[in-house]
Amino acid sequence: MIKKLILAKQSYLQLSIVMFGSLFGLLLVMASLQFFLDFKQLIVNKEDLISPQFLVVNKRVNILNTLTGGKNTFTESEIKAFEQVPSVEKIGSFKANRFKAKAAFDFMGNSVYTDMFFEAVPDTFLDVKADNWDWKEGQNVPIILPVDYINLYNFGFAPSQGLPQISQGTAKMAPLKIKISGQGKEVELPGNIAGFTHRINSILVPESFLDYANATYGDSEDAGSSRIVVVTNDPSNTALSDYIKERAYETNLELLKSGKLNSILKIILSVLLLIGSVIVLLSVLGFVQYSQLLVSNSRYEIKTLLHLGYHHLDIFKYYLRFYAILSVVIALFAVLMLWIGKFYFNQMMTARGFEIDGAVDAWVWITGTVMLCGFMVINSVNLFRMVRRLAQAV
Amino acid sequence: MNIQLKQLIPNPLKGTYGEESIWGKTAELSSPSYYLVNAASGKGKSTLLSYIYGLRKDFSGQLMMDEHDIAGFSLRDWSDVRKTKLAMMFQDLRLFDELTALENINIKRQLTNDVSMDEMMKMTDVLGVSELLNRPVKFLSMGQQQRVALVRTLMQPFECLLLDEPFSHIDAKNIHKAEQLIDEACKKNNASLILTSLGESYGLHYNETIAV
Repeated sequence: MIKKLILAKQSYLQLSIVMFGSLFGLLLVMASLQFFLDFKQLIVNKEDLISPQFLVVNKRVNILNTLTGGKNTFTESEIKAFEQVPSVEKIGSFKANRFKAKAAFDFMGNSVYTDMFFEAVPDTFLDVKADNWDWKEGQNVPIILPVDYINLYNFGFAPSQGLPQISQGTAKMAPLKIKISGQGKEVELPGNIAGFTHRINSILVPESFLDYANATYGDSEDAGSSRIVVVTNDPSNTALSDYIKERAYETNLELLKSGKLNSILKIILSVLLLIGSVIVLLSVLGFVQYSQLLVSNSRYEIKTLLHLGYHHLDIFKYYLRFYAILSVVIALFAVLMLWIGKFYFNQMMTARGFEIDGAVDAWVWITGTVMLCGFMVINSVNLFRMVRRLAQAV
Repeated sequence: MNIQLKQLIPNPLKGTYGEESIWGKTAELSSPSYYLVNAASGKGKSTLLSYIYGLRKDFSGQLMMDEHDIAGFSLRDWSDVRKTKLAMMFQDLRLFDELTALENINIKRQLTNDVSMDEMMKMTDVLGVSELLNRPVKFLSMGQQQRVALVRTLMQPFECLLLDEPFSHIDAKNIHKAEQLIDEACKKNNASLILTSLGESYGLHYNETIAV
């Protein structure tokens, strides 16, 4: 009866429009979030999607270098110039060993010696957290290998030679001996594999170790670095790839391309997320307006009920129930459409040979729930204040 | 219930009311007495009832209800007072046009649960509106609406009954029946009555006449 009095004066067209708006906005936010998560799952180098891109750049080796034995190092002014390229965030130079090095490891009962080289980059360029990387004299020398090395062994060498495959964990446990010599001295140090890097294609030791060993055993003068690590915050910027091509430098430009793709997709998804949020915000405003219309349409009825002895909370409860029902309707539609959409998306991706998780991510549900609850709270507070204002205005 | 007026002056009537009027004086209206507020229109009859019922606050002075200043009443207090202590029939009735007569009465009856359906039916019988209960109020005549509004007013416990020109559209025969109904309800509730009228005193015996 009271419902008939205070909720009868609806404009169903306006109500449908604001409900559709909030549903659409909510779906857009939830769907783009889900798409973002799905895409992240598909990318192998997960960190590339969100972190800046790292490129290892070197000069091209030409026949002249081979014949003359000339070095291909970057001069200080070349590095300075590189730092000025737009989208380049920072540059780290490689340090190389200037002493002779061998590594020995026990392999199936035999000690195997192999000639070695070491390089070092500043710690901030590393993607691996290694224990005791902060090297001091007398400690084990930790070594970081490219993840490609262990993959080459496990999937190329080991199967063809009938050898067992080695996990990263096992490799890290194997003790190493490192023999370094120069300036007429020789020393054997204990070492171990501390981690595997996706980022830098080299055998890395701590900078502090390399500085120490070069000073103590180094035979030649510091010739500068032949390779540098370039960190870019915007892989989609063509200035960087143009600069590299122009100078005849070399790098893995494929990385840059996938980085570009990632960042474009990231931009598109962010825009979708933003549009979705704006639509949600607008539909909240729409609902606030609609509530005002609803209450002012029933102004006489509400005031009379208050004059008959009804408390404004009694009246507010009817509105609250009404909006709770609307929210449930919106939520049901959102869940249904998200499920259907996710189902067809999965089918589409499977048909194209991508493996993705079938379920809608928990974060998407949480985001949707939080948004809908926020929506309910804003509307309830607004309605409560409007009804109370009517009660206070005598 | 004891209603005290202390130098009560409506802001719109400042300086215009007469010597004999209740405005600006101290007065006490207590149960179970009957009071008739008899005056021409524009003197503030409805205003007095509105002040007591908490519908308007544009006055200076104090209005006490059982020793409590109504200025300190919260929204909850007013809601409680209107459910258990004060019953008011508005001059403009304030019925819900879209609802039937029965629904209009039930909106108050179900709020307080003080009067049974049978008792309510008896009242409508007495006033001759029981046949009209299922009609939307907008199809009823002014006199019929007035009787429906009176029944609605009586659907609660009260200590003071405020009736604002309740008989203005009712014929003499029905006025008599209505007065009997009002008298019975006031006796049952041991309540006082404050009734405004444009000059007629009808048939009830009043303890006091208030001039405004």
